[in-house]
Amino acid sequence: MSDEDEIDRYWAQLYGQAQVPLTGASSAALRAQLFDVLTEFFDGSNCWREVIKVMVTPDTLDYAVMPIEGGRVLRLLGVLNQYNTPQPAVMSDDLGSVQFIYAYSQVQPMSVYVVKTVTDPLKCFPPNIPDWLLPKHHIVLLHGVLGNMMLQPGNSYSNAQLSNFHQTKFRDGIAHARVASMRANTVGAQAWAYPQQFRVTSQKGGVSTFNVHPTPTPR
Amino acid sequence: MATSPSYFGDFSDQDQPTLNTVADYITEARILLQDKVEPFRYEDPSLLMALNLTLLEARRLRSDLFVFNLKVSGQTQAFNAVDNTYVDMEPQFRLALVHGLVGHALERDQEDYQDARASAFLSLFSAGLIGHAIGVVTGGSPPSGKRGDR
Repeated sequence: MSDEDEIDRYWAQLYGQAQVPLTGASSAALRAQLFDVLTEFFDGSNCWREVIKVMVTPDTLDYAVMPIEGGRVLRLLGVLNQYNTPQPAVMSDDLGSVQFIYAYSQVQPMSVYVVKTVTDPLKCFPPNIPDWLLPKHHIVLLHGVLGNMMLQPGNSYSNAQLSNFHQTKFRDGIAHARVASMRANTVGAQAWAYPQQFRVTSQKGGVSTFNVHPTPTPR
Repeated sequence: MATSPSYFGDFSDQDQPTLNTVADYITEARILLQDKVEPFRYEDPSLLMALNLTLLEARRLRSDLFVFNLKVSGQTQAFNAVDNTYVDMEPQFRLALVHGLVGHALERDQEDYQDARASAFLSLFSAGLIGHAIGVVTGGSPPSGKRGDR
């Protein structure tokens, strides 16, 4: 069985399982809710990531970052230099470029780690998501869709009590996905070191001291 | 055992042949209205209006069936002729539209016994869309008793 067949079967499983308890639900509403569920899932879990390579040049602080593996950039997870050392950087408001805090004196490659989410609502179905998502998290997504649909009032499938149950399971699933992603899908290991800047730095008096020169002095 | 070709949808509502066009809806409505022989009791324009009004009512009750349809910018379709124009509706809700169409047609009848039929069809219409029936259609006969007793 090809990967495409497997993904199709997971879609059929998710879509079918969602329709069974939702008597009278429209396909359009299910698809719209699924997009919202995916957005919430990726936003809460940070589990869809991509490493974008940029070549840093002297006296240039801003670099465009464009994901090449689908999806839309949601936030910046961190930047590593060629020696895997975190570099201070922020992301522009339009999420299209990364801006380094300090200029560099030599040309060097950097790895920009970004968190991504889904794009193109109501345009394509199934939505453009990574192949590993459904085999790993399809039950979580099912809970999200059911919870959102049952919360709608005045329909044959409205059920506030069951919605609460599914929403709780969905939230739980997002938390699991976030932790799994943070620990790089390991069991019993400490949180993955890169590129979470807070793991390799400390905070003194509530002021971040991450790689800022000179180090701010707490008042 | 002999077999015949049957429909298997390819996830496209437009490929589902049952109640696909305006003419399909009107034809099916005439069957339920027992109005298949010309001259018709319910003329085409009146049934067409009933279909358009039913769609508007469906839009009110179940906006999710319409607002996500970007092909028509989320608007409600309206029809001017009984022809092969496609009625863009998810297959599982098409029967509800027929019931709404028939119910609206029966509502205008003068005969009191049609009120019960109209109520039945309109109830099927709303039940098909939102899972429960609306109130019955009443009227036609004046209230009984003297004015002072009412």
